[in-house]
Amino acid sequence: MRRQLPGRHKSSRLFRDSERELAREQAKRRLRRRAPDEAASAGHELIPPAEQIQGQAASTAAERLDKTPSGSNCCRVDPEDLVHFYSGPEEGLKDNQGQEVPPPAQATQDGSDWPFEGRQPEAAQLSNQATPDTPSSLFFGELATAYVPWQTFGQTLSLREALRTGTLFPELVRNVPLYQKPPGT
Amino acid sequence: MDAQQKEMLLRLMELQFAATELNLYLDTHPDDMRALQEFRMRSQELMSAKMEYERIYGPLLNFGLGMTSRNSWQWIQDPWPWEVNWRRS
Repeated sequence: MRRQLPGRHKSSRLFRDSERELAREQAKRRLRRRAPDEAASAGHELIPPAEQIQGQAASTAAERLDKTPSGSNCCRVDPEDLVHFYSGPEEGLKDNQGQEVPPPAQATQDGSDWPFEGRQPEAAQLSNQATPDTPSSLFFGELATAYVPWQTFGQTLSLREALRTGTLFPELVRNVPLYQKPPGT
Repeated sequence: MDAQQKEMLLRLMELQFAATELNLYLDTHPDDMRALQEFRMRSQELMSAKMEYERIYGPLLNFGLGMTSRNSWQWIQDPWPWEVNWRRS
């Protein structure tokens, strides 16, 4: 997905400033993320490699960026970078001990007790294999389940009563003080 | 604002609220014929109540819905909603 920057082709000062701000943000993130050799090969000669700024706050590097002349290419945002930053993590998921989480095994149609047509949804497959040792909270099973009974059309309140109560349906009347003014006001 | 006008406005609010409630119910129960019938009934009632109100007291909305039936600009003649005392009847 290619993201269009706000006002990329416009020349007004407002848009150029916002673009420059965005570029600074991108540069900060790039410094944190990229390995040094990768950054060097990308040709960002104005951005110091990550190893040089180790021990310094990332904002220091951003301040150096701020002093570069505005006409230079360092403040231009490469759309490919945006794709890079918005496309989520590239590595596999890791648990809290740094172990890589294996991708969930695809359950075969045979042996699965999925009662409906088609393949069993991934979430159902995962909850089938839930054990307390698996790292993701998804594997522990359900944390909470909301249950809303299906409403059926029955009696309705009189219109005046409905407006006063806040619902047309008597089964939805809640006489809790939630919607009432506190006493004495 | 006389009592009749206030009563008609209250009736309009009630009908609009009922229509909204039925609208929301029908969003999740689109095939419920009883609810659909009641919705149609309330909608018609609402429309005729609006027309009746506007015939007597002028437009309910500044443009787009009500027709100005008299020669003067009636929109400004009504009290604003916050000027109506709903508690005192």
